Amino acid sequence: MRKRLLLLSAALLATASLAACSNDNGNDGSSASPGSSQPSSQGASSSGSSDEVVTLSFWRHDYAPEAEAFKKLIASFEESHPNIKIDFQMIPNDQYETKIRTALAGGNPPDIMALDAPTLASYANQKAIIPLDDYFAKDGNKDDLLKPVIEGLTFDGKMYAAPNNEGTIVMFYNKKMFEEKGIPLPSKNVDEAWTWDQVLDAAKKLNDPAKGVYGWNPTPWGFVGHEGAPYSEMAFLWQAGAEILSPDGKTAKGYLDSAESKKALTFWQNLFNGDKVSPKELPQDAFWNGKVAIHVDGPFAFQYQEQNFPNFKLGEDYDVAPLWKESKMIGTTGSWGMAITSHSEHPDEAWQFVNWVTGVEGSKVWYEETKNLPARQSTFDAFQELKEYPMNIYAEQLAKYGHPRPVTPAYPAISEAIRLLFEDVGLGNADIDDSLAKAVKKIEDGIATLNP
Amino acid sequence: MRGYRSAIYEKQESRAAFLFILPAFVLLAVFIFYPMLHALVISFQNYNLIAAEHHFNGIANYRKLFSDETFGASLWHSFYFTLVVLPVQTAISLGLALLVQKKFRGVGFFRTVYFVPVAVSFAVASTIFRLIYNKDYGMLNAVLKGIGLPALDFLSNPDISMLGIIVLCIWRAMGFVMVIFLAGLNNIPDSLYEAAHVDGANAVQRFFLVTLPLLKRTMAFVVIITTMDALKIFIPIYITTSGGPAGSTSTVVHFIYETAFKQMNMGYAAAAAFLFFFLVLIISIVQLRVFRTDVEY
Amino acid sequence: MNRAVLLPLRWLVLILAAVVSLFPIYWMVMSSFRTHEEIFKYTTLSKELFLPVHWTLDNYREIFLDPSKPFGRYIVNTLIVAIVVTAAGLVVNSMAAFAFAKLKFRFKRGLLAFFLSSLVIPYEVIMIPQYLLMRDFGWINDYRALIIPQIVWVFGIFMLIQFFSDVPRDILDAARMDGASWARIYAVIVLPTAVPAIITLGIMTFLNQWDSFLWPLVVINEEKKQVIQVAISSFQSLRGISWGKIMAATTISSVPILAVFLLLQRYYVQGITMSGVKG
Repeated sequence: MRKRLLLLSAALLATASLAACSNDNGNDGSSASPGSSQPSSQGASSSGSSDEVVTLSFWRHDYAPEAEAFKKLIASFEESHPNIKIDFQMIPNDQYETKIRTALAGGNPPDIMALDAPTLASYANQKAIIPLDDYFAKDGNKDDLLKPVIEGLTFDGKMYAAPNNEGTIVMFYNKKMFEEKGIPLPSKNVDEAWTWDQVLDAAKKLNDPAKGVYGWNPTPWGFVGHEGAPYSEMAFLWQAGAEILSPDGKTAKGYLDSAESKKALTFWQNLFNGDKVSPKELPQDAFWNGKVAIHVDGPFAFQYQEQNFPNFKLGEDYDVAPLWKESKMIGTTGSWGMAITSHSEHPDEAWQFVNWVTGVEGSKVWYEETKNLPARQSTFDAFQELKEYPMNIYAEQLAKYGHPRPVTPAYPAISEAIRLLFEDVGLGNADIDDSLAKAVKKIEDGIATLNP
Repeated sequence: MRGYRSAIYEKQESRAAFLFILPAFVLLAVFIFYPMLHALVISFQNYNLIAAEHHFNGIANYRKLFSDETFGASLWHSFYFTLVVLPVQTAISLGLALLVQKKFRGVGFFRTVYFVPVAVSFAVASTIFRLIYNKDYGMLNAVLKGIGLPALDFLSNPDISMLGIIVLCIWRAMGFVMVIFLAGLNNIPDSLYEAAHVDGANAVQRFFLVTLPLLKRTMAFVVIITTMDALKIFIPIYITTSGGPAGSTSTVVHFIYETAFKQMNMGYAAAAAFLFFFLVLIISIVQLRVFRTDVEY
Repeated sequence: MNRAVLLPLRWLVLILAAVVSLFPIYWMVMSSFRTHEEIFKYTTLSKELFLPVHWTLDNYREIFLDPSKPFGRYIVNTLIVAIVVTAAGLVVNSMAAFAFAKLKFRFKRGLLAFFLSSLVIPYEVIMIPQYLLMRDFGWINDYRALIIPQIVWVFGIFMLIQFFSDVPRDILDAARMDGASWARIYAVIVLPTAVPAIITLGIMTFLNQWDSFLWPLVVINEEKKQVIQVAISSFQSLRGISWGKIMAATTISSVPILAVFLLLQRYYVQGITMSGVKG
C-alpha cells in the first residue's frame, strides 16, 4: 500500500514537473530574456526595416489610474507603430526598487524602466541607463519642459530620463473645523502662504485629544519606511533656510548640521512631543475621516476622495491652500519618469515609445487620466482647470517655489539619513545635535562609497 | 566469516547512504552553497548592486563593519529578540501542547485554532498586526482603552517596539511549535507515566522526571530551529515597522537587505552577512554540543 | 492544587489562547466584508468595532472580476508550484533524513554539519547570487527557478531525522539479514512509522511555498505567472491601500490550508503505532 503511494507520488511528481517545464518552454520565447527581440530581426535593424516586429519590455510600479493611462497610450502607440510591441509589466509598488535593481544586477532589465527622479543619478552613475540628449534634440521638445524638471533629471550635464509628470504637495484643511473654532481660513494665494507659526497656532486650537483629533499632520503618509517620508520632510529643512549638501555635493558637514537645520528640527520635535498636535502614527485616511484638521497631499488626493469619500466635499468640508513656509517658500518636487536601460538592444524604438508617452500629446493624455501635475508647459496651457482652483495652487507653487531633491548618486544614503533623522527627533525625541551628527555621518559614508 | 559479511554490509550501507543523500546534496550544493560562496567573494569587493564591473577591496568592508554603529545596533536587536523569543515561545508552545495532548471533546477544534495563525502568510500577518497596533485607531488599543488600560504604542515608541514584533512572532509560531511538541509528546509511552504514578509521583514531578527528559531530542530540535529562525527574522520587521521607529527594530537581516537593495552596497551587505554567519555558526555549535548527549549523531 | 480548581483553569487557558490566536484572523475576515470607509472608522469599544455595519461582498467580487489581475490564475500558479515542491521535497528530504538518522557511513558527521550550516544563512543574503545563477541557467521567468532550488529544505531534513531516529536499529538489521535492500527497508519499514511526521512536513512545506514572496517577486517577470503573495501585495500602492481587497484575498488564500489542516490533524497527532518496539 505504501509502496503504491510512493510510486504514485513519484509519478505525479514526474508528470507535474514535466508539465511545468514544457508549459513554460512553450510561451517562453520572447519573455525569457527581456529586452531581446525575436530571433528573426537582428540587433542592428532599427525602425527602418518595418517588416520585423520589435518587442520592448517596460516595467513600472503598480498604480491603478496610471495603469489605465498606460493601456490607452500603449494601444495608440502600437496602432501607429505596427512594428513595435510593448510588453508592459507592473510591479507591486513597494517592491519596485528591489525588483528593478535585481534585474539590473543580473544584467537582464527591461528596455524601458520607470524611475523616480531622485534615484536617477544612482542609475546614471553606474551607466545602467543611457543619456537622452540626442533624442531630445531630435524630437523631444525639451524647451517645453519646466525648468525644475530638467534640473531634476540632469546628471553630469546630461539628461537621463523623460518625465511623465511632476509633483508637489499643498496644504489641505478641514473647513468645517476651522469655521467651528472661528479660525480665519488660509489664503489661496501662493504668494501669501501661512508661516509655520501661523499653522501651529491654528493647529493648537484645532487639536482635540479627547475626540482623537489632531491639529496638524505635516507629511502625507506619516513616518513611513519609503521615500514618501523624506520627500516631504526635506521641505522643512529648505524652508528654514538650511541646505543638505554643499554646492559641489561632496559633503554634508556644515550644511546639514547648520543652525537653520536645528531650528527646523526643534520645531518638528515640538509638533510631536511638545505641543503634541501631530500624530506619531498616522492612521489610514485620517484627514478624510475627520481625525486630522490640517493635512498635506498631492493632486491625486481629489480623485481618491471622490472615489472613496464622496460625502466629504471640496469647498464644503475641506479646502486647499498653499504649503506653509518659514524664511523661504519651498515645496519639494520631482516625480516619476521613464529611462532607457543600457542593456536595451533597441534604444531608438524605445525612445519612440518614451517620447510617445511623455511628449507633448502624450503628456496631455496622461494628465487627463491621472490628474498628476504636468511636466510640460504646453500641457499646463492646454487645460483650463490647471489655471483654476484648486489645481492652480499646485501649478503656481510648482512653477515659482519648486525645489527638486539633490541630484547625486549618493541619494539613497541621503534619503535614508533624512528619514531616520526626522524619526529620531520626532518619534524618538532624541537629542537634535546627536541625531544631526548621525545623519551627517551616514551621508558622508554614502558619498565615500562612491569614490573608493 | 562474520567479519567478511559485515564488511560487505558496511560497504553496501555506505553506498546506499550516499545514494540516499545524493539528490539533496546536489541541490544543496548547487543552489545554496554555490551562491553562498559567491556572496563570500562579493564581500571582498566594492560591489555596487547595479554596476557592470566590480573591484576587489580586500577586507575593507569587514573593517568598516566594526565601526558601524548601525550594524552593531542591529546585532543587538537580533540577539535581544532571540533571547526573549526562545524561552517564551518554547514555554508557551509546550504548554499548549500539554493542554491539547489528551483527547477530550473539542480537542481537535482547539488544535486547529492554535494552528490557524500559522496558516496565514507571515507577510499578511505582519500587515494585519501593523493595523491592529496603531496607537489611536488600532483594534488592540481600542480594546485596551475600552477596558481602562493605557494604550500601547508599539509602532511609535522605540522602547517597546521590539516587544510588539516579539508578540507578533510568538503569536504566529506558537501553533507550529505546538505541533512539533505534540508529536514528541506522543512518543512517550503511557506506561512510563503509569509507572511514575504508581511510584507516587504527582503531576509536576511526572512532568520533570518523565516528560522533559524524554522530550530532550524534540527540545533540542525546537531550540536550534527557533534560534536560527529568530536570528534571521526579517519579514515582520520589513512590513510592520520598517526597521523603526527610529531604527529600533532593525535586525541584522533587515540591515543587510537595506544595505544591499536601498543603498545598493552589495559588498558591504555581504560582509555583514558573513560576519553574522560566523557568529551564528558558533552559537549553533555550542547548542549542538549542549544537546549532544541524547541525540543520535 | 485540587481537581476542582484545575479543570476550569485549564479551560480558561484553552479559551484564552484560542481567543488570542483567532482574534487578528477574525478582524481580517470581518474587514474583508467591510467597505473601504468603514474599516478604520470605528475606534471605540462597540458593536461596530467587531461586526461590519454594512456587509458587502464587493471586495471579493472585485478581486475575482478584475481582468488585469486574474486572481484565480494566481491561485492556480501557486498551487502548481507548492504541490510539486512538496511532493519532490518529501521524497528528497526524507531520503536524506533516513540516511542521516539510521545509516552508518563515513563522513556522516561532516556531511551533517554541512547540511545544518546552511540553516544559518538568511535567504536575503544569497538572493542576488541565486538570481545570477538562475540567469546563467536561463531560468528567469520560468517556474523551474521557483521549484528546483526550493526542493531541498534542510529544516525538513532535520525534523525528519528526529522522527526516524526512533526506529530501533535492531529491526533494520533484522531486515538486512533477511536480505532486504536499503531502499525496501526505507519504503516499507521506516516510512510508515513516520507518517505523522511526513504529513506534518508536507503541510509545512506547502505552507512555506504558499507564503513565498521575495523570491517569486524577483524571478518571475510576467504578472500572469505570478504567485499569490506577490499578487496580494500589488493591492498596495503608494496612495491608497485597498485593505478590504487585501483582507479578502488573504482570507481566500488561507482557507485551503486550514481545510487541509483540519482534515489531517487527526492523523499526525496520533501516536506512532509500532507494536512491540517500545518498552
